[in-house]
Amino acid sequence: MLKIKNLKVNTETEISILKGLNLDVNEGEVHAIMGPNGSGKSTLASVISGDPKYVIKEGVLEFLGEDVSEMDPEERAAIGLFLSFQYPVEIPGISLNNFIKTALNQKQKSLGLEPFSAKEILARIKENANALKINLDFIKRSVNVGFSGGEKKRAEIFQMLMLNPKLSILDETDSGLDIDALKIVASGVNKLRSENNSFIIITHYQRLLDYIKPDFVHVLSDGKIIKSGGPEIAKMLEEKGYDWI
Amino acid sequence: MIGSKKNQPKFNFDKKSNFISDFLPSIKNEDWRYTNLKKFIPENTEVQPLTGYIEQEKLDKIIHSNKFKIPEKNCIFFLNGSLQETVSDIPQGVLIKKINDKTNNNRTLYMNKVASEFSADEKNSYTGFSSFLEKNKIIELNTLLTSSPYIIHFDRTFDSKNNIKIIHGFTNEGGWFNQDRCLYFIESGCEVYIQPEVVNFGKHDSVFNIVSEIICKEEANLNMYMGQNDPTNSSIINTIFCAQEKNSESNFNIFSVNGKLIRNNVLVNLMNENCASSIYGTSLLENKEHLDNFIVISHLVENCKSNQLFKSVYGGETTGSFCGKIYVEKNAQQTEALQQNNNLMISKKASVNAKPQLEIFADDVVCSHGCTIGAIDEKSLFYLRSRGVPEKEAIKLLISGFLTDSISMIKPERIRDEVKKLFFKE
Ligand SMILES: Nc1ncnc2c1ncn2[C@@H]1O[C@H](COP(=O)(O)OP(=O)(O)O)[C@@H](O)[C@H]1O
Ligand SMILES: [Mg+2]
Repeated sequence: MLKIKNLKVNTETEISILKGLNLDVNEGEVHAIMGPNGSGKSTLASVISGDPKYVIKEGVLEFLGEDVSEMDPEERAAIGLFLSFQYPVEIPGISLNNFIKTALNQKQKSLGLEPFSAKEILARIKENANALKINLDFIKRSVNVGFSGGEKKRAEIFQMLMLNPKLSILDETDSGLDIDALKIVASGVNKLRSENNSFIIITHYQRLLDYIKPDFVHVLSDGKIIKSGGPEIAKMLEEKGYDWI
Repeated sequence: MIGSKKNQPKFNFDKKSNFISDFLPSIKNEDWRYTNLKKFIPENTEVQPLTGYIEQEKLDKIIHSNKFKIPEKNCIFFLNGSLQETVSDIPQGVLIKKINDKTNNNRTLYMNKVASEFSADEKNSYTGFSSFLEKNKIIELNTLLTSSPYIIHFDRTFDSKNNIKIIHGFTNEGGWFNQDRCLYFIESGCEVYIQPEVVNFGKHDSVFNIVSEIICKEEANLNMYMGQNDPTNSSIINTIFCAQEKNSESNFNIFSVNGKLIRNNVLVNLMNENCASSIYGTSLLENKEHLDNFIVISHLVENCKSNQLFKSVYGGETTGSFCGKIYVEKNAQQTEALQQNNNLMISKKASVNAKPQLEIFADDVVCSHGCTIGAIDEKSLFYLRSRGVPEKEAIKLLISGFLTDSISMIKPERIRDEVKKLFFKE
């Protein structure tokens, strides 16, 4: 599904951040990426999603067998990519409700499909809000404006469920969540999890991985994946820290 | 031609353009620092002739020459400064009449005279706009070139649910320098929602110099919504003088989307205790428009509140200026005066000058002002795009989000929807 080979990425100001990264994600797999602060995890997530702030210097970036390295972020979203931001952006004046409707129907349009009816959308909103214990007044508020840390993350997962992506990247969605919120977020992910849908979960903590069982765990350091393996790696990191590698 | 030159005040019409230019401010005038008005007035512009009675047939023809639709209900229609009763629908509680004599010595406003007419035993004195009048002869020009203004009088029998459109229509056959003048008198306790609008039935490259005087008596509540969307690309100078009595409230909301030059002068005098005034401006300009908002709020007594919120989006090759003055008199303690001016620049060729001016002579006051000038936030844009919203749509969404707070201040839902359409053509 996602194929990354020898990916080298710079900032616009030519600072090298990803330095030859390899990663393969197949249908239905859950990959966890761990690694020290500043190692390039968020940059990787942004580059996969098409953030114009970064420049691909070298390497392969394919999604669903297609080279997406020059695709606009909206096109990538339309074919099934989703990024839950580490720091969701506040958008004053646009309600979450309005935004998700726009996003959903723009996605339909890009795929050449009919827009959803207001009734259909409302039914989906209710179902997903319910699953995440979000109340309907909450989605009338401006996107992320004045949301607590936990509310922001929950709103991200809500949008993920609404957009029903094939590959979801969760960038530290668990940071700053209490255990109840963590369980809710995990249940959202597990709701979408299927043999067709895949996940990349960026996290510092083992505890999220207790609720979302990863198939693979990778350690990213200084712009490269330096170790890959099964869930046991996450346990070792939790116990011994990154020096262990 | 509908106008008749015989009705005109005596001026030398052979030197019309010189005559006009004597009244135009230069950019050396601090109040006009960023707007060179002379540049917006084409050579050979003629003064609009006064219009007398217009036959119904002619009137219909003029009105239908334009896509403009006159509302059937609650509409006051002026054409070239004359009230057209046949196409107006004036609701209960509104009385329109001409001020009966012209003792105005040009420099002063009509408010004092009108106030004494309506409330004989009170000594009304709405002075305090004099420094502006001295520096802005364009008002004097308006006084000279309008015969006598209409008073639009709202009394207690007026039902606030009747939102009234006030149309200042102009036939503008020769690309004229057009004037209109009226005075709103809002009786004690009246709540009023009005939408004044300038409609050009004629040529482009003309100028509209509109002056409105407003008196809000005790406990009056005035809400004025002004859409500025002149697709003929002419210039408008829109001046409002508002004098407020005890416990009265005024809300002005100006929406600018089209026009070669849009200059708004809004001057509010809070003359007695517990007055409140809010002035909101919302603009989305994307071609070559020049917008200049010039606001002066004067807190003349204690315990009054004012709020200015101006939100502007500048695209294309547009230019803008915002000058917001807050003046607080020495004895106006417990004043609360807020001002916020946010500008979103969506084109590299657009520019804006913003200037808050605080003149505060009282010590126990809460005054704040803030100004931002910025481009579309890249992070926000990527966030929306990453959710599947195409760049163009995402920018539109960010613009509408930026503009919503001033639009959401509109109280009547019908007007709010109308304004949303004006901006976002939903
Ligand atoms: N736009 C940018 N300009 C300059 N430096 C950047 C930019 N984006 C990221 N970096 C730097 O790249 C490194 C990796 O950042 P990031 O991907 O956010 O790390 P992580 O998510 O693993 O903590 C950091 O040193 C960060 O400061
Ligand atoms: Mg990060």
